[in-house]
Amino acid sequence: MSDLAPLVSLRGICKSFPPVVANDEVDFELRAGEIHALLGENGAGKSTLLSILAGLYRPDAGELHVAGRACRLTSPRQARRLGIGMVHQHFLQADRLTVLDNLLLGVPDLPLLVRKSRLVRRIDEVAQRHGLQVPLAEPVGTLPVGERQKVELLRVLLQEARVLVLDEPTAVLSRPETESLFAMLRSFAAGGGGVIFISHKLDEVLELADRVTVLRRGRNAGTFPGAGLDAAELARRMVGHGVPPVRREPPGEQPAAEEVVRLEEVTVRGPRGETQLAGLNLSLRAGELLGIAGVAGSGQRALAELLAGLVLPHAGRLLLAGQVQSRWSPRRARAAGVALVPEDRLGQGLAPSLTVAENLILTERDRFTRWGILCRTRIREHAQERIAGEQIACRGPTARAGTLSGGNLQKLILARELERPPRLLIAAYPCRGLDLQAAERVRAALLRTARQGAAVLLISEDLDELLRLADRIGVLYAGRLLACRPTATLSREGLGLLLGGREGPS
Amino acid sequence: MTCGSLLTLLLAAAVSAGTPILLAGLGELIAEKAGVLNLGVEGMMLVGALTAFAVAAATGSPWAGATAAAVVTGVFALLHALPVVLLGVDPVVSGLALVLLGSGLSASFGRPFIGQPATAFSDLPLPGLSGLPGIGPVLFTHDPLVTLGLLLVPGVALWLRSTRPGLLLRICGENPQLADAQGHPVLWYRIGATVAGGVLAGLGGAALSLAETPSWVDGLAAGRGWIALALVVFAGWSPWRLLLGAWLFGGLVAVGFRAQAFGLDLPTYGLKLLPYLATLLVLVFASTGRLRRHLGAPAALGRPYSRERRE
Amino acid sequence: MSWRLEPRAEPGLLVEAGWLVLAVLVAVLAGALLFAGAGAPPLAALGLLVTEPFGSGYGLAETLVRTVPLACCGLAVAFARQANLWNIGAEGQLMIGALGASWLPLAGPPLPEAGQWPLLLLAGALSGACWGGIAALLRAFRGVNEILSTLMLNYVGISLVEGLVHGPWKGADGFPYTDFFGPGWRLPLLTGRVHAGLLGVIALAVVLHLLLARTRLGLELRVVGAAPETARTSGIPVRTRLVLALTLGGAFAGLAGALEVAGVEGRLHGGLAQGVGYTAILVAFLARGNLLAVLPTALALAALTVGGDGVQMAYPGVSAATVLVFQGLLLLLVLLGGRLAGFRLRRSPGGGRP
Repeated sequence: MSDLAPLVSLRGICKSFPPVVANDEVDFELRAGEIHALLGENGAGKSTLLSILAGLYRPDAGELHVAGRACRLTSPRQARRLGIGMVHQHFLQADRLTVLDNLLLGVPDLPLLVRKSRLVRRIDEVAQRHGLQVPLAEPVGTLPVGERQKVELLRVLLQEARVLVLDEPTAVLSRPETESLFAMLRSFAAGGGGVIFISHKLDEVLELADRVTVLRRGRNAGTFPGAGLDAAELARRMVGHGVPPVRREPPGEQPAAEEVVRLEEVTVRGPRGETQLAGLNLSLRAGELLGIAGVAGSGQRALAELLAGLVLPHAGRLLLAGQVQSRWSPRRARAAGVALVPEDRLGQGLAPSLTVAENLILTERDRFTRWGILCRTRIREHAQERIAGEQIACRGPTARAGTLSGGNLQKLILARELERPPRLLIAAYPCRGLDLQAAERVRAALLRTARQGAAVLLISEDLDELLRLADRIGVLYAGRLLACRPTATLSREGLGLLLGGREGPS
Repeated sequence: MTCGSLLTLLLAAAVSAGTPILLAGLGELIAEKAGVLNLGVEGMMLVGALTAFAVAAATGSPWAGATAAAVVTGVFALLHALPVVLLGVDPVVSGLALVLLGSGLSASFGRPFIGQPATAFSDLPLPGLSGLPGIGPVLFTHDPLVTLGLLLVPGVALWLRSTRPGLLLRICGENPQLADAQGHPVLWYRIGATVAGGVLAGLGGAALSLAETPSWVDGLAAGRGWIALALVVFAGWSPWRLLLGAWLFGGLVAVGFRAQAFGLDLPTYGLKLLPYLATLLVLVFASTGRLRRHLGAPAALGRPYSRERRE
Repeated sequence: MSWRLEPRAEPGLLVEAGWLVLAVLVAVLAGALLFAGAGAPPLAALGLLVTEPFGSGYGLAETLVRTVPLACCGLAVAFARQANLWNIGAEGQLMIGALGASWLPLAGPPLPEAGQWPLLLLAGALSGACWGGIAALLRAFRGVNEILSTLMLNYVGISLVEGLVHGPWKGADGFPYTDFFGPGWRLPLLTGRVHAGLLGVIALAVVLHLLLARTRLGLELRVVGAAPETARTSGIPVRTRLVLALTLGGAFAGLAGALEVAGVEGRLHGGLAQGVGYTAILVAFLARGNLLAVLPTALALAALTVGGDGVQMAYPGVSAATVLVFQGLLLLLVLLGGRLAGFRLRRSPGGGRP
């Protein structure tokens, strides 16, 4: 295979999910025998590009060539037949079925009557060749993530894929697991195959990739040979050169404010027993805005839900104003002045089929009730006032919340959560999906809340935003808080390194 | 009557009375394994029972009756399958509509058949097996539909576990994205499974009107369709446990209907309650924590599937 | 080029109404075919469906009498739907309500005549609440699917009544119904057979509508139904609200049973419910979550049963169950229409998938 006929080449790929443009005229090329990294911030369009390659999405425009032949991918089956095998970030597996059943799905020309013993031999052989032994009889959902990934890889390899596509394959792996994965990928590429992988871990990109393509805001921001790049350079290319960050005025020397919330060695486990937060220590003072950065799925959700009373710590202590909270619940959290701007606005923050006016009083029901009866006039006036004050675009207090646009949904939630100054505000990705103006309003509201004396925890994937707003920034990495430093001591590059799990120069 | 022969009689009656529930339950199990919830079992059983009765009466052959019941009920199930699978209509409402339609249609068209003698299946003892002491008269001396049920349990279990379509069907119910990503037609599998559920519910109905209570009255199924639904939950979606449940409930029904015949003096209406009360208990039992986690429902049960929907 | 269905953001009122009308028209057409198939002239039979329930004083009274239990049970279903629960058990709750109500005159302590029928209604509602409460507790604390549990309780409830009227409560003439209750247990009549329960159920619908729209409890119930996670983050006790929704639903269906006993039948028997509890699901579905709308939809379906009886009288070929078929079709078609209103047909470039 020569460089002249790349294994895969994409030209001018466009794909939008109105109103979001996920891919905008993206060119991409994978050569035989190469390992090609795809790099970019969250929302840069990497996953969309890979899904197009896997036949899951059809591009709005653009061309695709596989082994030099133009083709139109209309289904995953077709992609598979062309030798493209996808390993999804959130493993696409049937959790309750056994490893064997999940693998059988990948066997081409699976006979009508499955004689398992014969297929087990075939699977074992492929597993041996690539060093991917897995317990076949266990339900996939019970395996540790590293094993689950092996299952995923094994399934793709059983399909005799020529191109391996991996979406953040190392995000969940330990170092030894990562190393064995790399060894496997290298030998695969050496055999003439091609590998495309997405990663946020810069070290690993440098360690593994022959070439690196950077995506920024849906566009290709350049393809570079892996040799000769360093981590700082990569981080810079990834986050771009945007406007120099406007920082919040550094606070002068002030007496230490009262501590609002404190987490001591807190561990939170998910429904299947997986660790979501591990030994977390955190302290947040009144008037302080703490930013939390991290690649998706590093424990942000668990942190927000823990503070809002939705999940309980499995170990460790949660202190509010110095008081240990042993019986923590959403009601207690609300009563203690905790406000929540959740990541899932329609599912966790609002009741879409209820009116704007009703949604505005969800958390303050008692204030608008007398003898159990809602005070309609006050609720309406309150709604009109908040709609005008926050410039919520809607047909009026009786409009259903579900009919509002994303930006207005967020204004609605903020109008409710910030109406009375909270003691602790948890805001999870509050500007995600908002246009510039709406996002600026949200940011101003966050700053104002902190200035009024609340402790604010801002979870975000936008580094500019964190650098502008936060007094301190902590980075979550695989359920651990890596660093929690004053913003003045951090740079974008430094943060980029931390996001990738590397303590860098600051 | 000796104690032993009484027991044999009772057990045989339990196996026979459990067959309609077993067949309908197997059908629902297949549909649910593919991810489609169909609450219309009761209606489908009624349609099947009437079709079987009418066609058997017209042709003089219970075999023709059972075949017709399977075909007609399979088509009837499409009324649920197409809107639910293709359009993502609420399966609960659609299933309830199926119950209304099934009871209405069967009662409308069944009027001339009330009080008519059935062209029933006669017992077809299995050569060799029926002579076995104890187990022979209990399991192998029944009408052909009982035998069909006995064959279908290992059949369905094997089919689901060890065939390509069985594996894909299970994956459609567990993770349709996965099946789709591997290029398999999720929607067709789901429609097919629902129709198969209809076919088996129809045969369950036929087992009622041609064998278990060979006659036709309005609402002949008397809640057996709903019990079948509950048993699928109880069985943790396993055909073998479903068989066990069906025999248990068949036993309760048999005791209820035949207490007097067996010379037992028990309050009739109390006995008629038994299957329903037992179903409630079984539901409570099957819903408790540990068991539920162990044997839970297919992960994508009742959830519509369509591609290109972000999030 | 190919055509494909695409979801649309928010269907306009006109689109929804259009699909609804279309669904009803198709159902009527199917009904005409059913009549024709049973040997009745379809147009005349369809006409009877309208003139029978509304064309005469007797017919109108009959329609109103049948509206009462349908509306009550419709409220029982629709109220539980507010919390996103399916109460399929109105049939059994009605029977148990009737049983509890009948216990007072049959076996209860002696009471002054003036308080007799109000207490009877209360007893009915309480018994129905208990019946619904079983399913409610099982759902909230055990996770037992309320569709299956309420349904099983239907059969249990009906069998209990059957057992009583065939046994200890059997009437003096030896038939399976109780003796008639004394005049103090009977509801006052408004006109003809129409009893005061009609006013009661109208009042109940209004009160419940206000409860949902204007009280904190109502708001909380609706949040639990619309977005349980939001309810949780807002500090609403989700489980107790679930229990309340289904228990109160049971109370309304139980009240329906008591009203039938005290207002229409004057005694208890096993055939009291006659599928009212199932038709009530259709009543609630057509009312689309609006408790006031339950009154007109209950009236419409009551008229349908009266009209169906009329058609059946006039044309002996038509079976009583035709009404059931029609109801099933209506449910399926309205469901389908409501769903299709959420789509639009689009031309798409490239090979489209359906």
